Amino acid sequence: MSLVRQNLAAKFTDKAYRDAFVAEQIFSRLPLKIRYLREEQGMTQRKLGEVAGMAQTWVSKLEDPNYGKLTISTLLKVASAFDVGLQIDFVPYSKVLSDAVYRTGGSFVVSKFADDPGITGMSGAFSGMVQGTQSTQTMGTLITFPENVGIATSGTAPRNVTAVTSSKATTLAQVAGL
Amino acid sequence: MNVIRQWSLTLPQAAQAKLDTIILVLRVSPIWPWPAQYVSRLRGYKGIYELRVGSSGVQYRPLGCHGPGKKQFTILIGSVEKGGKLPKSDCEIAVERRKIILDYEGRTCEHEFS
Repeated sequence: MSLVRQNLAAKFTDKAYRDAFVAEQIFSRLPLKIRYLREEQGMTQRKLGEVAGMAQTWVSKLEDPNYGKLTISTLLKVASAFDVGLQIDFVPYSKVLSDAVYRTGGSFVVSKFADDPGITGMSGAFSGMVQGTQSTQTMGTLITFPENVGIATSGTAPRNVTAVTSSKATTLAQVAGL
Repeated sequence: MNVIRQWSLTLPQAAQAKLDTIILVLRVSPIWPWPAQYVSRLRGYKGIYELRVGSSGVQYRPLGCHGPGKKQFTILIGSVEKGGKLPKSDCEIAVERRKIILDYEGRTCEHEFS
């Protein structure tokens, strides 16, 4: 464990500190990333504002680490304007800390949808699969859960959902047309 | 004795978290020079910059300079805005310390985040 991580981990024992640290990973870090992505995409603040549906003055605030009022809805607009994804999740503090300490400059680089090899490079394979199954009518879609994943159920199951339990997996079959 | 560590430990937890985060972010920033919303030149004091760390309505302003080595930035003194201005004495101390750390080796250490 690096000395930096070790020292920060010690500070995390204080709840006020760790709560503030989590907040600052959003409010102080994302403004720099917004500016980087904007410049990478050759946009002025005004242009980003036009695409995201907000005034240039708001874009300026979004790039200020001391603004501190970023909302999920605003971030979604900005993500859409950049044509990139946005992930918001609950995670252990250890992950927040490690991400903050071991982050590199490369983490600022985010591919737009059109340049994302994980999507655009696979589109041919997806279309091939769809074409190959066109002759067979789909009667149901299966969602398979790994073993030991608890699924809380209460009351009556929805009409169109059948729960089947096997020794290996719990399968929910959503049967079309029932 | 680390004067910056001594100062940062006097700050409220939220301000410490903000300062630590801003330093972590600037270390890997792909944008150079750093955006003025994060670090700005201190007018009237050549070579001195202020880290802009606002927390709970208080404007904390660690003052620093580039160097002594390449790709290094040294925090020289912790300061706090009062009435929209920094105490003149803090700015003058920053100038003095800048001369010292640029002239003599061994008067700086890695930021400890502690």
